[in-house]
Amino acid sequence: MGCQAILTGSYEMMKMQNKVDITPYLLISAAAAILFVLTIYPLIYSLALSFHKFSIARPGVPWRFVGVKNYAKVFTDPVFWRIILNTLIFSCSTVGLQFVIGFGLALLFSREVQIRGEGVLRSALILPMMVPPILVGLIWLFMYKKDFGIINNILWMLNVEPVTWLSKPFIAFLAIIAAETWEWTPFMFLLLLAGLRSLPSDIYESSEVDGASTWQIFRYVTVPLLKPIIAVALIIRFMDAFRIFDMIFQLTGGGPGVATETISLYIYRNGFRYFDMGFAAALSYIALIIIVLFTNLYIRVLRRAT
Amino acid sequence: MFRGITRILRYVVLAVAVAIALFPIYWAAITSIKTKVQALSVPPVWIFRPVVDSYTYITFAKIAFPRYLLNSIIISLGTTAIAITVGCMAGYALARYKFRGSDGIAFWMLSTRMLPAPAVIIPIYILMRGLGLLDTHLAVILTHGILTIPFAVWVMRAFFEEIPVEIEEAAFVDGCSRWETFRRIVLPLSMPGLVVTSLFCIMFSWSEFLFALILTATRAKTATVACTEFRGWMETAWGPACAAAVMTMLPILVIALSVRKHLVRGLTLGAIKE
Repeated sequence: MGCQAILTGSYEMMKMQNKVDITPYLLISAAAAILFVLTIYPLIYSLALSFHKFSIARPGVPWRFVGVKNYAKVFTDPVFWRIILNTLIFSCSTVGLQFVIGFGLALLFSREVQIRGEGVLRSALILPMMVPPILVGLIWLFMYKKDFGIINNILWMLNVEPVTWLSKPFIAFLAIIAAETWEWTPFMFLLLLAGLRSLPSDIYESSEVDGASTWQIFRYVTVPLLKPIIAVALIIRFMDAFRIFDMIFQLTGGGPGVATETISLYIYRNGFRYFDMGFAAALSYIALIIIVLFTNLYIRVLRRAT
Repeated sequence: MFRGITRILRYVVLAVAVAIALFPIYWAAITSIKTKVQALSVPPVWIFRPVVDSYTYITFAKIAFPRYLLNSIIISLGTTAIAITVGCMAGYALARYKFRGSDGIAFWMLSTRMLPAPAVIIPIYILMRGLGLLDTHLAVILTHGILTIPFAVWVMRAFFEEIPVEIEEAAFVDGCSRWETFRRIVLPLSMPGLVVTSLFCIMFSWSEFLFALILTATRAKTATVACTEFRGWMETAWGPACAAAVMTMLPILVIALSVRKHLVRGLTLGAIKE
């Protein structure tokens, strides 16, 4: 604290001399400049692009101003609404599943009983989220294969008819939910366990003395105390699930039809397959607005936590 | 009695969870050391003599997978070097100076981390094409800054804040300049934080797919992109695909386990400390 006082003190002194210390601005400028070029510039560019018709496949053809036509096309496009619905159902169901399973596992590691080899078990449980998402798609694609995939093989051993996992809309949707839940449940587990471990143990002792049941302790002590961490975990996962690309791209490519297509895949398809850059830019702006809403929510939660 | 049953139940649930968590990784690894016939056999082979055919194939056949691994190494180290350098400076400024707009800048940087990649990929593609940087390492190195720089700024800031300011104060009193204090005292003390942050940056860059897919074609193609290209005319070459997957994820898994104590903090950008 002392140095803080000195630093602020020197800053105050500078202010008194009517000079602003530019050191922090210099220090921050490099990071700010790079991020500006990588994020602000593209956002301005694609905002402009979203009011034009342009294709990267024909570089010679200049932009043609079309007004809000791209946005009108987005909102009247029945596929777009299907995609939004897909994305929302996907995000909510996977985050919900991850939360329930992850919380359950974290509670298993709770304080009363020591688990032998706990460190090893924890490390094993968090491995899935370290696998690059594109490889999660690859590995699950291999496991979902109809003829030789291991999942159908196990079902066959149990005398269950083989399932064509990735070619029926509803089942394919369940398949991507399963793969996503497999990958990210460890994240919830890890965060919630850290949260559980950080709770003061005397609260538990006193509630036990007061005769509270396990459920009551969970409901009225654990959950309220964990609220900030639960909020952070849910929002991070929701934002990531909402913009998912890699895993679905590899596993189903959005198919069959558009059954498993989410907003990021739709933007990619329009921009880099159909080369309709203006339409893709309009789409990405709408996705961006949704994400920004969630980012703001996240930042508000974060501000309260720190 | 009741205690005993819950205890057994707890171990059963844990065993099932661990099995589910590890099985897909195990299955990819085991497929990568099977022969072509064994890899696709029905029912699956569980016990067999391991062969390295798939690894030799992806190393020496025309795929030349190690080249893509090398690209991944160059790109992840390059982007990490940039992120750490600019992240340290910005993180230090945010941790130690009070200045107008510092909070706003910090949260702006954080929010860039949340951008959906497809929202910025089109302009970045056009920008890189304009600069003649398509299919170069530099294009991917710079673009991965979206992932690594905000992260480095936030986490380094938290690490700097943890260094007791009294130490710096003492150095000032002894007549050290700001820069000397930073170089001789703050930097060595934050070394563990620097290492952890670097490892995270390497992981983010290494695992990234979409930017690498769009910005590269052949020369700078990364391992994650190359992994998806085993799809044949009829069926994917699963043995080699699994071998490539194992070679790509192994370094990440090793790094992840070595920083597991810091995972919670890293993955929430310092929001939650363990």
